[in-house]
Amino acid sequence: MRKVTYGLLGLASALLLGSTIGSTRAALTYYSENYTAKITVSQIGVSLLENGEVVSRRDYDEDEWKTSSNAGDDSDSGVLLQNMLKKGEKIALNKKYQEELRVENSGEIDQYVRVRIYRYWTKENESGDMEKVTTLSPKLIDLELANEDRWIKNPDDAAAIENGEKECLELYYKGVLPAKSGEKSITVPFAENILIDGQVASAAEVRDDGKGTITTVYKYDGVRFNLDVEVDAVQTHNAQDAIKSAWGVDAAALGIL
Amino acid sequence: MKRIEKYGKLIAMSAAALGMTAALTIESSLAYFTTYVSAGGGQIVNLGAQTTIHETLSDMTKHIVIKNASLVNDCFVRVKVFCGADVEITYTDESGKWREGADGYWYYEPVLPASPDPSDPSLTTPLNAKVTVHIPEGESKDDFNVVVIQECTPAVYDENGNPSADWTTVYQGMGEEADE
Repeated sequence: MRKVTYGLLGLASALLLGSTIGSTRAALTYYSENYTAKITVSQIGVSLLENGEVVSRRDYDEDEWKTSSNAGDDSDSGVLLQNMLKKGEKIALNKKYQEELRVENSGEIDQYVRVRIYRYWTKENESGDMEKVTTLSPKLIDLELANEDRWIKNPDDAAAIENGEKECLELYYKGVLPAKSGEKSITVPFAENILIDGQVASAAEVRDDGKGTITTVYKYDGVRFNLDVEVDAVQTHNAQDAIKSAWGVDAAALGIL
Repeated sequence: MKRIEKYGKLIAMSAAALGMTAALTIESSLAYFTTYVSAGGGQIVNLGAQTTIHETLSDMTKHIVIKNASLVNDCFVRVKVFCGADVEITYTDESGKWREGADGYWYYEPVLPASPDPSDPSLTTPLNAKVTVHIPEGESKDDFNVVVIQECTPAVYDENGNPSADWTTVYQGMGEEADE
């Protein structure tokens, strides 16, 4: 029995050795001319633009994800509204500030895109941490939406957003955003302006010290309004299933295909 | 030997299950090309107003000046002078920035900017209120009162950023919610 086993082992080794030599010989006896070929795989990429400037970009290029943002190349997330006010300027309630937001297809393949917009209030607590202010409505952060015929709201959320009950708003770009098409690779804006509603100053108390000084104290003095935007892109090939898988929505029902 | 057979089956089935799971995982993770980016930001909303009245008296004339003591917020101010029926007030305003309203208030028309530097306070131009006391013949008067009150309202902006005053604002108090 042992002899048979050793015999088989020997045979297997010989066969293995033989096959290696064979292939080596083949490589040595046949030379082809050198050709350089670059295999192009599908490279998807997307960027968010604020007032014409790229604030955040994430492209798949040469087998790796390349990210950059206006917060520095190491940061995945860009910074919005940093140029909203001039130096020394303070926010005027009810005043419109330009906040034009667009999406660019910065990849190599066509794509479908959607944006998720979050509006919320925060305030620094006594220990210096920022915490959410849930008694102020997100709708007081009035982001003026644009081109609503191209950017379709998720109908499931529309009523809740209108009431100010929901801080996240989803917009789906209708149609394909083509790659490498210059200006056509950039969507029409989904937002144009931002305005902070004067209602934020309606909760206040006037105090008179009787010595000629009148002080108006506001409940929401020092609150910070926040605007976060997430952009998602997905391939156009097999779009219905791809969108369902990536975003969990029925693209045909939304009418964005 | 039986034990080996028993465990062998178990191992084989576990391996098959693992293989199927791995196959499923591989399929879904390679399924679609997607990408994403994000960005966020915000600004602090500073609210609050503080105004102080400054009065000086010379030649039976009150010189009224209002200071905006707020470090960050602009406001509009108005004043009203209360006195008895035998006291007459004559107003003079050399700057032309005060306007008498139909309600008896004197309105300082320009926006009164904040005073970010307390050593350089933001002040109105003086509004002079000359006091004349009418005493009927044969009577005398020991004292009389002339009271000046001041009010302020935050500058309200329109969508183009032009400031205006809204003197009809009624605050909801500190306990109310701003979104109701």
